[in-house]
Amino acid sequence: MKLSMKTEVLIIGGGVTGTGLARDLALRGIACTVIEKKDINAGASGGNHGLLHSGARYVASDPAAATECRAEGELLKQLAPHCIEDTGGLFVAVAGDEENYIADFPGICARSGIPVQMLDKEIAREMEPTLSNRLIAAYQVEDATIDPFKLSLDNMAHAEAHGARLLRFTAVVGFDLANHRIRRVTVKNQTTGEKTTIEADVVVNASGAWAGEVAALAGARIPMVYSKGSLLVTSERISRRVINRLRPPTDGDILVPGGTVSILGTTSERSASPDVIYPKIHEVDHIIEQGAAMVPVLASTRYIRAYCGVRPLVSCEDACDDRSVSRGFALIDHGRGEADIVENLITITGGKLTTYRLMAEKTADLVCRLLGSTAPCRTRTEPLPNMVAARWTEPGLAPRTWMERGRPDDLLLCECEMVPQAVVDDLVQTLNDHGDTPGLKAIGLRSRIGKGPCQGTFCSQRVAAYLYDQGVWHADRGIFELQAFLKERWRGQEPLLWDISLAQAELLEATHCGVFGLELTPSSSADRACGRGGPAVEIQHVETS
Amino acid sequence: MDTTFIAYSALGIGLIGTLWRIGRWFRLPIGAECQPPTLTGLWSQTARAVGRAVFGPRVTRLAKALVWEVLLQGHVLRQDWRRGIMHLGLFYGFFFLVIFHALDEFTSARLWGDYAPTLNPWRLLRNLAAALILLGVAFAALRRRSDPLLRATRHMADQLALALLAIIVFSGILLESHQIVSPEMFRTMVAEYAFIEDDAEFEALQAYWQAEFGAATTAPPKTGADTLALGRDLHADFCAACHDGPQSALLSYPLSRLMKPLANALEKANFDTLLWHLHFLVSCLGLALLPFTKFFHLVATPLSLLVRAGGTAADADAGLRPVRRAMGLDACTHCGVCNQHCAVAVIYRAIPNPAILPSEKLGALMRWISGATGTQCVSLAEGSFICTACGRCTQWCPSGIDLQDLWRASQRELVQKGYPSAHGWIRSHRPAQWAARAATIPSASAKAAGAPATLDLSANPETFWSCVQCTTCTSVCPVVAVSDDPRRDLDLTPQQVMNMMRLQLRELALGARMVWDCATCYQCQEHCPQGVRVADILYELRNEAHQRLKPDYPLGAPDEIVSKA
Amino acid sequence: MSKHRDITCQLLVIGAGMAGMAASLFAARRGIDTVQVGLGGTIPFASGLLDLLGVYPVPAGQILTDPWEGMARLRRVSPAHPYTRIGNQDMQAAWRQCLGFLAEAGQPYVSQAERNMQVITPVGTVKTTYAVPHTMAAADDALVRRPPCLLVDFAGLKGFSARQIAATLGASWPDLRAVRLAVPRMQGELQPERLGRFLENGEHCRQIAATIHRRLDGARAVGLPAVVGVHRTRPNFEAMQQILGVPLFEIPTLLPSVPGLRLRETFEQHLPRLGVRAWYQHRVTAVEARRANEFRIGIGRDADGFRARTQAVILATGRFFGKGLHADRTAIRETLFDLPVDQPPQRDEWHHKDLLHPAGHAINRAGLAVDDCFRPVDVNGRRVYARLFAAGSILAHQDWVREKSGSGLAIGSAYAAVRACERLLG
Repeated sequence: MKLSMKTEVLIIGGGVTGTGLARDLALRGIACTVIEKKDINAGASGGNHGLLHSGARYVASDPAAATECRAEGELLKQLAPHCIEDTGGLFVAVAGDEENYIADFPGICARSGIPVQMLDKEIAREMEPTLSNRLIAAYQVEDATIDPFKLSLDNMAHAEAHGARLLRFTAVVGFDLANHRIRRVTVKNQTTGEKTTIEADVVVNASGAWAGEVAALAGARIPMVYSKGSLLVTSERISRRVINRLRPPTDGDILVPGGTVSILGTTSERSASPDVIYPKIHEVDHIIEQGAAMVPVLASTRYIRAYCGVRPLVSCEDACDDRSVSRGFALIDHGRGEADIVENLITITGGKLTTYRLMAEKTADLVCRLLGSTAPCRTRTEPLPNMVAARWTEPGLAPRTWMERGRPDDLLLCECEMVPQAVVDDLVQTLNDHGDTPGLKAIGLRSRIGKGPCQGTFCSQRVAAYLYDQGVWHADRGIFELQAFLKERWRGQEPLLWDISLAQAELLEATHCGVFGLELTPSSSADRACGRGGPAVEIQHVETS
Repeated sequence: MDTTFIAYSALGIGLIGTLWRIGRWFRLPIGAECQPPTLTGLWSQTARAVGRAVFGPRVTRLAKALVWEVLLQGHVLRQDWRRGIMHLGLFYGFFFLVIFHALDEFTSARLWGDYAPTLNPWRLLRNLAAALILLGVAFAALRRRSDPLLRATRHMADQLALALLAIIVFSGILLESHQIVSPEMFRTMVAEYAFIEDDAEFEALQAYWQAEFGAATTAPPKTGADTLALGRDLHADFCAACHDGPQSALLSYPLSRLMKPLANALEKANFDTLLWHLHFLVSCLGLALLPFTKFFHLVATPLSLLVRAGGTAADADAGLRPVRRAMGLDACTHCGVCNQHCAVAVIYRAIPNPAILPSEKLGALMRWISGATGTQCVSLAEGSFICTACGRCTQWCPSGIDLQDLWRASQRELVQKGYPSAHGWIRSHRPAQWAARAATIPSASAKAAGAPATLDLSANPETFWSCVQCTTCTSVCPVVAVSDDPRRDLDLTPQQVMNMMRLQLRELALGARMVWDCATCYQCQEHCPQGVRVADILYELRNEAHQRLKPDYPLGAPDEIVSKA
Repeated sequence: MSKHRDITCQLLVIGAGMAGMAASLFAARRGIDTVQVGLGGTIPFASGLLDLLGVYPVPAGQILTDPWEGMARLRRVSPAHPYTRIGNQDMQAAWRQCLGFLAEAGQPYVSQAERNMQVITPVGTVKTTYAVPHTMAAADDALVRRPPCLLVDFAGLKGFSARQIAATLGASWPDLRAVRLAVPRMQGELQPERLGRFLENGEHCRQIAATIHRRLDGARAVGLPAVVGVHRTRPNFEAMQQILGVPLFEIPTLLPSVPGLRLRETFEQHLPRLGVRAWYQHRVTAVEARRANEFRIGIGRDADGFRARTQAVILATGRFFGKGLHADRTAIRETLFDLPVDQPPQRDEWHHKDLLHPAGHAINRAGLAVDDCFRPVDVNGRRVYARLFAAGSILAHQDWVREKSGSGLAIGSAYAAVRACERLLG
């Protein structure tokens, strides 16, 4: 084991909090490194609706969070408009919904300073024709949607532009403690298995649902509750606005447009661990049933993906329903308190996507206090730049750019989402700059590849072949990459396999198992994942006489 | 006014007009193939071409065309013998009357010394000719009423020509029948030509004429065998040399029987003078208008037929093709046969742009050549490019106009002047540029009311649910197959168009050439394992694009892409 | 429906996949008056390789060298598997007839009597199969001897990289080289079918072969994508081989595949010549079972069409992709006759959470349970119709994808069903 590096602040977790914190610190001139055991937004940051709350959802249960949401939402709309689609939102109730809640709603919103506007039922249905004809009430709110991947990638890219570092596929495996301080952090490269150590003045545990596990490595205890939420992606956009069910928050009551698709969720299910989670069949059926009461077409539409995330909730002793556990964040200074003191460890967890910046700001303030720095926060005023590295997550951008450029040799590798070779080139370049040779999952995360109806049936091998041709991959890495990518896609397909999706899955299996025999081929050893293949393939011309 | 002066003026106008119109063929040629021709160049080429035709090996064809097509109008006969016979009657009836009646001073009277219009066979022939013309006119008028396509394309010009003819002939017949019964006429003639000694003789002649020639009298005539015998003698002495019995006037005589009771009243109204002036003036009008009405086909059509027979396809004549096209415009009789055989005439039912129909397109072309602009050009362009170049119009045209060649040339000129076909204008910009334009124009499907039901398919996400991205539609597409580079030639493959729809990027597909070049063969749709209606969607998109993206005409100088189209 | 076009027949085969084609072939050979109807779109979604039994038992992922030996074990362990109902003799006769037909039709297949064959896949794995198009036969030998070998691919053929195959197999096949050719006159993207049609032209094939020949550089075998023609494959392939002077083999491409297309077009062209009245690109619009031995089947492209009166039906409509089966969120149904489908009780059990789980997914073993005559039966084992038979992948208790048994299942069950049908028709 060798000492690999030193940094002022080590941030554990590459979700939206970790990357947001990295940017906040970097802008204050503080050197920091983010380590992430998988890739950007692997946890709840990537497993949510992508909803920028107006706050109206929490007015009854958590007025403080509602007010925070509103303030941060308005700020983000100004500072990061390229990550946000200001769709507006509706709260709608259908026959049978709790009438008292409906009656109280505008009053409570007014108390929290959340602007709502009552709508005539007919007007609401004109605005959103897919709404049920059993509508009994509708309010307009200032909800918006946000691309969490673009948000995190932009935050990280901007932080990196100011000196921060990101180490992907790097997990914490131990802390070296002395005198209640972390002296060194031992990390393991998840691809190569290699262990190294990092020295840092302050360590921030921003590992979301894994905060308890990480803190435990330092001997600190955080009571965590794992609340799994599952979401479904439809194959097309069902509504223009965010549609919330006007009732106390429960399952299947938010429909959020996300570019060309819509996302229906969620559920709330206790989970023993944040690691092995799947959207379950009964959850899917339940969400659809609930959603269809609000928007009937949800009962028959084609779904292309299900996914889930674990809400990192810090429990209070007498909590019964996970939704009533505070959505407000927990910022823990492990240097204070009575037991388990770790002076230079901070944990930031809980909270919401909408308030990520505020969480980062507060955490950075605490870090500065520990470091004795007085640098002020700049993320409250400085716009988040639209970083080139993060642009390809936007639906429709790839085909638009492809058509505008009109390069005849730029073939589409992903037909569903129309992602051409040039986008893959771009992503390979970006990831290479990080010292990685990109895998399929990393490319998929940063683009729309694999997110269309074919869910990797065709595009996986097309991209694989292209990466070999470009000299990015070598040896038998393709087998391992295809297996990993398809398995990852399958997690999101498996609960949704009926009707046409089942036919699609049959084609997928016929191709990748029937012909390629991927299920019979052992995965290659991890070291093949590194290193490069060589120059791009040359094209020879056929002599015609 | 002096009738001679009027007649010569009319002749003068007619002649000058004819020359002017023939001159136009050389001044306004259509679709120059080579370098822009000079007037003198064209004249000399014409002279050479005529020389080659008359003194060359093609002279036999020329002669055959003259006899069979011009004189016997065999082409019309062959197509529809009833129309052929009618037209032949009209044509020869008209010529007979013009030459041997209108110009009898210079023709009949000189050829036959004893010529008198009231003698047979002249009277008989004249009536026969008039009957043929009237029958022809009636047939033509009926034909234009009965055929829906002809009815839709009826012009004032057609009516005017038929009306003029009818007026001339009918006034002539009326005049003649009036003259048969007119007592005044009888008196004048007797006073001028007969040496009558007393009233008894006059009455005898009158009685004889009344009995044998159907003339009318002011007073009740005497009867009796003696009187009639005297009358017969007097008639033989003074009248018979110039007068045969009017019974041979097939039309006028029966008509005169009807007029007889009114003869005196008409006489008082100066009916004959009126009729004579009408007959004369309308005839002169017809003569003067000849170059400016359909009558001009009398000149242009035979020439066109002869040129077709005598012309060569050789390069030597290539320079004259623009002149031939201009002549073709004038040779059109607006008979409408082309419309009846046009492959795309049915489209006229859906798109009521008359310029789709060959005969009307020809008219629009004529107006365009004469300098029309604006919407007229746009509709001409639309009509021109709907043509499938099947060539049936040329094959059927009784006037021997090479319509196909005319369309080809005018299409070329339209493109050059900034009025390209839809396929042409769509190629003037790339799909991304069209998408930008489309973004400013609302989609028809976005309109709540009145949206055509056909747009439901591509705008409905359900249409694409079953797509499994298998590429079959692209693989079986013959349009993709014939391209060396589909991305270059078609912008998008069928599968990619479907995905554009699914990704709600329909504007990007509107200008894609795949959408526009789809052959509607339905291979994609029939082979789709999931039943996606690929071809129907492409068709729908093309319609939408045509509706939404129509450019502002004229487009300006055609760029490279447009000229390729 | 217009009455005057109604037709009658002894046997109606529904489906134009491998099982439907095989059933029509066998029926025609036995002189049964046969009508076939079906959308012919699915055969190209098979690789064109004819599997018999490549893996048994599935959970162990054991690849079989001898399919017959594997089948014998299977019959002992799995009484409900369709193979258990097909005797070895019938199976061998079915293959003989089917391969004989293909050879006569100019698309010969190569197989070994008691041994599976192997081919290379575009991801660089090795696939075990039973009979391969003659154009792929040399791959089997090359995989055994592993001589210096040149792999060719074409610019624009997406998802097929000779370099990927060479790199993936490289560890165990030292002298494996890759070369990429630009197809003359073709630019941009090339779908396999387009390329296949382009290479119908022998001159194009010869030009490509000559270019490869100049780049052999000691290679003792050459592999290239399976796109050498659709109908003129045999002469063109032989001409290329002659120019090259070393063994040449095709490597399957991504689907839809040209070898699959060759199969489909061969069947579509030759079955009518054997007397099958075929209505390809038509679907069944209505079914009606009249009495015990007459069915009335509506046939058409859309709602309008005509009716066939038949004494027996062979249902070879495939699974979910072929639309023989359909699933909603609660259950799986058979789409035409609403036959009872043997299936897991709940959707939870349809699929494994791991796509590549060695045991495969339970839903793939769902389907029509049949009796020994391949007639669908209900939950109590009673046949539903006396003269309704089922063949191919719609059958229950098999997992053709994981077993690598798709074609064997199609051909074998079609043969058994036609035999039973012939007996019953008398």
